[in-house]
Amino acid sequence: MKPALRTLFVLALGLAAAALPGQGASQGASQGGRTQWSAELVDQLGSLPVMGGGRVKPMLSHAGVSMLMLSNKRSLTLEEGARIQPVDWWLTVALEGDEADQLPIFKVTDVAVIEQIGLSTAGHKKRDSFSYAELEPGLSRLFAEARKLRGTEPDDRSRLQKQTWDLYLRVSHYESIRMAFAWARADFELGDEVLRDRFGGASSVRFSDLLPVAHELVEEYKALGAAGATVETDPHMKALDGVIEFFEFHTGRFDVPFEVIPPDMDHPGPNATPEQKHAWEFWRDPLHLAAVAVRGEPVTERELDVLRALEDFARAEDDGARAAAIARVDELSRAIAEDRGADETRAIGLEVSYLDLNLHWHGIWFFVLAFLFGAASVLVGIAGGSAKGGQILRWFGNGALGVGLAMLVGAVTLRCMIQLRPPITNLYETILFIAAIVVASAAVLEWFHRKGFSLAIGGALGAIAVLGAHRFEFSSGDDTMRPLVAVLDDNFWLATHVTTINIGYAAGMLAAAVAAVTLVIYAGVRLASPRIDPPWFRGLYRSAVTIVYAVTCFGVFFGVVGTILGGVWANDSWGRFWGWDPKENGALMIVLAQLFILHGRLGGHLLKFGQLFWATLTGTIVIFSWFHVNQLGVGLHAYGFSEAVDTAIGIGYWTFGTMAGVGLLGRIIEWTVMAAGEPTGETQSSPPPLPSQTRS
Amino acid sequence: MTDSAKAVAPPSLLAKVGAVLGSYTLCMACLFALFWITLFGTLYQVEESLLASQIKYFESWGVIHELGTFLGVDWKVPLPGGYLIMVVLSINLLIGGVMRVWNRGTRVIGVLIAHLGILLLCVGAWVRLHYAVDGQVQLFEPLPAAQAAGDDGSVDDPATQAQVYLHDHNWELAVIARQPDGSGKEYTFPDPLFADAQPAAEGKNSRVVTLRATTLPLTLEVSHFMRNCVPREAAGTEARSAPALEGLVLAPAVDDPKFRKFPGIYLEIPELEGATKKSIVWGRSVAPWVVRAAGREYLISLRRQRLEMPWNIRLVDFVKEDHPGTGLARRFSSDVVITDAAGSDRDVHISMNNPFRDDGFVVYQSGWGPQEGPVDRYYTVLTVSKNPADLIPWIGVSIIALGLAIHFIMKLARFIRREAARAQRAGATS
Repeated sequence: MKPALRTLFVLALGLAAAALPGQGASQGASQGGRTQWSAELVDQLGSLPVMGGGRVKPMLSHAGVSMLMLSNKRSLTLEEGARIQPVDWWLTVALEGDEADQLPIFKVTDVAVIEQIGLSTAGHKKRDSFSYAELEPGLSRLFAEARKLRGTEPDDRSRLQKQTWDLYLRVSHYESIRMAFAWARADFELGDEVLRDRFGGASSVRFSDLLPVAHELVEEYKALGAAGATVETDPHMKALDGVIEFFEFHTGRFDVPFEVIPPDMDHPGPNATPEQKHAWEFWRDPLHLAAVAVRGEPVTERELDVLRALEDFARAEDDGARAAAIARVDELSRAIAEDRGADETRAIGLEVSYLDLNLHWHGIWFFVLAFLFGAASVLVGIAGGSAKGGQILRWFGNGALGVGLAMLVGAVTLRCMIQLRPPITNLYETILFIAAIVVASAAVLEWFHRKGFSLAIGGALGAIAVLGAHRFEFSSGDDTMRPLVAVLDDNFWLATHVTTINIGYAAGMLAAAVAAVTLVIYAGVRLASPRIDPPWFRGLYRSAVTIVYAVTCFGVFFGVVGTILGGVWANDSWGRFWGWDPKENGALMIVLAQLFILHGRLGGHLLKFGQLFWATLTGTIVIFSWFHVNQLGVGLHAYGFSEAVDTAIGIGYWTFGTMAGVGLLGRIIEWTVMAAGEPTGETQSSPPPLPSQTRS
Repeated sequence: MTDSAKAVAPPSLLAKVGAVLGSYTLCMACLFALFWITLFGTLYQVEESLLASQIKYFESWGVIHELGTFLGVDWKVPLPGGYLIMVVLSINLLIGGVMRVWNRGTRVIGVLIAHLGILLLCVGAWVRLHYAVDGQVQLFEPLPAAQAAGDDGSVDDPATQAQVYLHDHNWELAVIARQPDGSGKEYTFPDPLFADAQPAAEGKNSRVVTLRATTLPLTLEVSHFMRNCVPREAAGTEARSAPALEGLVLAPAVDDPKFRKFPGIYLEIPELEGATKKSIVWGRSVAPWVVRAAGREYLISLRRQRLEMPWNIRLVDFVKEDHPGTGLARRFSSDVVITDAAGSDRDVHISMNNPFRDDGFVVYQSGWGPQEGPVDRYYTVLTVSKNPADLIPWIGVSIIALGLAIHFIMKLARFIRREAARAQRAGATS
């Protein structure tokens, strides 16, 4: 490796390490009134496999999704600046409920929903966070409102009703976590001698002690009842009645989101019913396991061991013991999972690494650096600075862009390895994939043109896209690796149609960004000197037009092939090649806009300015197709309306529209000056043609 | 002949027309118009249905697009319809994109191939639009007792099998003459035959269409055909466009994309056993209208057009699996037995993205039910399509991809060669 490259590599690693989150060395102690969980416990619990949302994932991901659902964030920042990570928060809610109740975890987009349940919002902003303790006085009213909404169609609800229902779901989710270990901490007082003798004379037993004999005790109760005994006359029957009440109290709730016990059973075989397959696939919550035991269905010793270890975890006095208990749960559940042969825990470690590294998020800093170096090199060129200086700046910028791209590609690759899918399975992943393609394309263009222009745009777009991906994840409040619905469950089409069409989107966005920035510069130049083009501008303008043309060609290829492949997929899935679905139409509109530019260029109808202007407007069409059609609420790709996405779409339209408008203003200035025929400075004798008037 | 003599020879009219039809200007105009039609048609789906949008924007020769209300005026603009644009664009493509570049050498070979591929797609789309027939068939799972008996348990259950499928949009008036042996002889009249039997409109009287069949002893006089209507009590219905009959009147139903449309007609049978019989016949009626003529019963109903399949299709098992702990469908599929005219059986598995193709027909897994309430017996919904252009998209996309790849790779190679030469010249100068 060349010394310069080695230096860059070391610098990049250093920056990456600096950007990674620090691993706090908390020790389960109280700090500032807040419990600090030890790193050992947090790590151990974070890598515990659990089932949630239809897949097995690490607890780190599971807790993160819970946090996203409640607060639209993956961490909680307190007023004093402390930041609580998902597993720490989950531990606090599950084990230190009173303390967790004070944390402002419920994000509310409009405080009207709080006022509706009879609570004051004094001191709160319109969009603010509330703690469970703050909401508690209004919960009975919230649940009453939710009961009224239960029978209504989601589409028929008003905005406030939707928010009320949403808050109800989030409060229920929180309460489920808060009560997740109530069973494990409860002692059951054995009511009579017969029962006490059965448990070796103990006066009280744990949940896990009762469970193996639960069915037997229920049967005994039934037999006594059949023989004419009653709880009033028979003390043993009264004691057994207490056992049944104890189980009913705890197992009556099945919404506890902690499905951590893989069913310890053999695969039911290829001819099994869907119910049998579901019973085999669906990891059990401890209370689900208890219900199974009470019904008299088989519960294995290993499953009971998991339950006992969870009980030890909930009852432990210190983090060391808690971590040891979770390690036992982890060991047992992985052993069961391995024996099932379903390969369910295969990607747990990978997903923990993916979440811990958060590569694409940290890559933003490198994209910002690439933008700064690229922009600086362009400015050096404009100011007539030394070529060597500009070259060095570009060199650093390219390095930063390369590192950022590698981190982004690393993140996308890790997601592919975790899901065993091509890079795109949902809207969130389109953002990461498109960002990677845009940055890679910008790097290739910079290699050809070496002016820092593509570098700056690639860096800026990379940073904006990854930031947008984060905002999208937060606003959706859901797992970004959800399992696929039946129609999408086809890796061939995901790898062909979905990737090609998104490469087409990426090309459209890159061409639009290059064209938009060039138009703004063009307008600035026209305002400064209507008839004279500075030398630096001629080169930049020519390069920009070439870049827009090249990227548009690239986009047309992938857009056309991707769109038609989508039709072929639809032909296989639904029996029609083209159904005028909004998403199909959006893809077609991008292709039409790009073909309009290419044919306009060929026919001489669109000169340089025209190509840049239409390419900029194509950016709005890409936004329409990429996101807006999903918001329309019609067609096969309607994923539900999101206000945050709607705002982002508006910003995108406004940005490209304004930049195109500014460019047009520059063009009007040019026309006006040309029409007036004003002689100016150096161009009196024979003015050279302005770049926008020539064909490339 | 001198050079100047050659120069003054005016182009023929045909050449002029050809130049216009194959011009870049026309191409750009078509692309521009198609873009706006696509956008307007997409947005129209939000307010109206997909089908309404298709008919108004994409399959029409022209459209009056409503821009909205501004300054108290409803602004409208006439635009070419999608069908017209596609026809003109295809001609432009043929003349400008194929014939004009035919002899221009290898430089444009990729463009030529891509244009040929697009033309093929246009032809495929035209064939699909005019000659494809789409419909659905709904089959119930065998009863649990039959399932326990194995695959053959459902052979005698008519709910599990079908040899006809129902057209997606077309309806027919069916008259079934009940035979002495209990069987029925069917007479069917597809809806295009009586589509003109419209109610009275401004400046137009209502029209009556008479339907007859050679061996059918009935004359059917159809009037007031409505594509989307519902029978209502005449007493409470104002602004009626159809007459009241036995206290009922057919009234237009609300056009809501969420609900299926049901047509209705007024049917009159003159001289039927000495009297004229009249009735409303509605597409959603549970029971047919029964009349007697010449000692025989005739069952009359309006139903979705029934189309024959070349085989009998019987559901053996329907599987619907969710991702564990969610309501998210992971897989749904149908195991069916296809029995051809010769009586031989084939076991076929149909699932999402995995249709069954045979004899010009394609059968897709498209739905299932019931989706609510306790389920003791699922049914599967299979889309049946007879599309002569079924494989054209595959061929078209392959040709287009090949053409574009050749063209852009050649362009890239030329660009790289040019850049290298420029760098070499710059090096030599310095």
